[in-house]
Amino acid sequence: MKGGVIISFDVYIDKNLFKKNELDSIIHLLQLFEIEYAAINGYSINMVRKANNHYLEEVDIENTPEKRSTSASPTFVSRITIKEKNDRELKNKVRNYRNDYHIIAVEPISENQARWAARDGRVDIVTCNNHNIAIMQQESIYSLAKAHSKAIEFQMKPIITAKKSTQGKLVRQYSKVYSYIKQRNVKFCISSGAEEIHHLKEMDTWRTLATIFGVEYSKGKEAINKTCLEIYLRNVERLKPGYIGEGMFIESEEEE
Amino acid sequence: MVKREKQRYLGFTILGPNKPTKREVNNEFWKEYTMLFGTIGAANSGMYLIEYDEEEKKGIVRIRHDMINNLTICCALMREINDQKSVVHRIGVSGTIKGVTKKMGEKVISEEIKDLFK
Repeated sequence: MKGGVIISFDVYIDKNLFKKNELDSIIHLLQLFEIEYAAINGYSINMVRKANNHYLEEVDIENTPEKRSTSASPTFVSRITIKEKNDRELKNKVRNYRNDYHIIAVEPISENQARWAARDGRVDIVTCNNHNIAIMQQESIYSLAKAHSKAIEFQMKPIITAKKSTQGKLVRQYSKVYSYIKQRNVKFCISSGAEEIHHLKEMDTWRTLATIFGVEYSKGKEAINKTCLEIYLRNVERLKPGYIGEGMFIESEEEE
Repeated sequence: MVKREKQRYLGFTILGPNKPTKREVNNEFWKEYTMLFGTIGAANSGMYLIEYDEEEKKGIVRIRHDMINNLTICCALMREINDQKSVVHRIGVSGTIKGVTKKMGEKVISEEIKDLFK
């Protein structure tokens, strides 16, 4: 494959997709679209473990590409998108959910929330979609996101589901947000935002579609695999029992 | 001497409840491409639906090599064919018909997946 192995990581697939249909069929569909990691919005760590019976400890950062390319089943990752009107509620939810989900995303509905999400250590991703695109056009958010190494997520579902009359407007707004990201060299990721079967597509298609709002083809590759995988692997490490700091763990007495 | 244009062939499959005809698929591709890139863009693309199997709902589209990304975008944005919800899934891209046919043969879409879109 040109330019190394691409790991398709869809950071947002709605859990309703799994409710309505059988899990096996969804797995087949994910395999068809060559999605190797699927973050299910609303699935907690335990639910994800039950769903695919795939233990997260098996994932190794060094041999991940080879392992995934030969493996048949996609790896499910837990994720939650928090959207709250009340700022205090939002902060409480982030605090409460930190240990239950691999990826915590915040969909800000005000500028204050966006700035807070961009600098809070517990938040991994700040989501950007058609509902909050106007709020996300503040330059200060991206300075904070860069300083605190947060990723901005572009959901592609709004672009494909929008009416033809509003599609162009949305692409323009996305490109404005991307220009801020590019200026400040902030991490970003691309996700399907799939809430039904028709919204699912292979990640290479999203990468190509992202070129319409100015994302270079090479940057799109990073947005699909590198950023998402980095967040996931970092949080897997953090969520292991006895974690106190980067590479440091407390061994429990019971094991000895 | 006139330089021959390089071509790319895109293999696709349609996932959805209906079985559109070749003419309907062709019209949908042109409609979407024209809407996105304009009449001049569509005219310069050299897009042509080479083959379409109405039973299998698989086909091959030819396009100028530098416009293959535009065609992928078109496939992604196509939501309806003949006023019924459908998804156009890109199977593979190649420089030859033989290459793209091989890719299409490798990817078999199971009945379970087809049922999901009904």
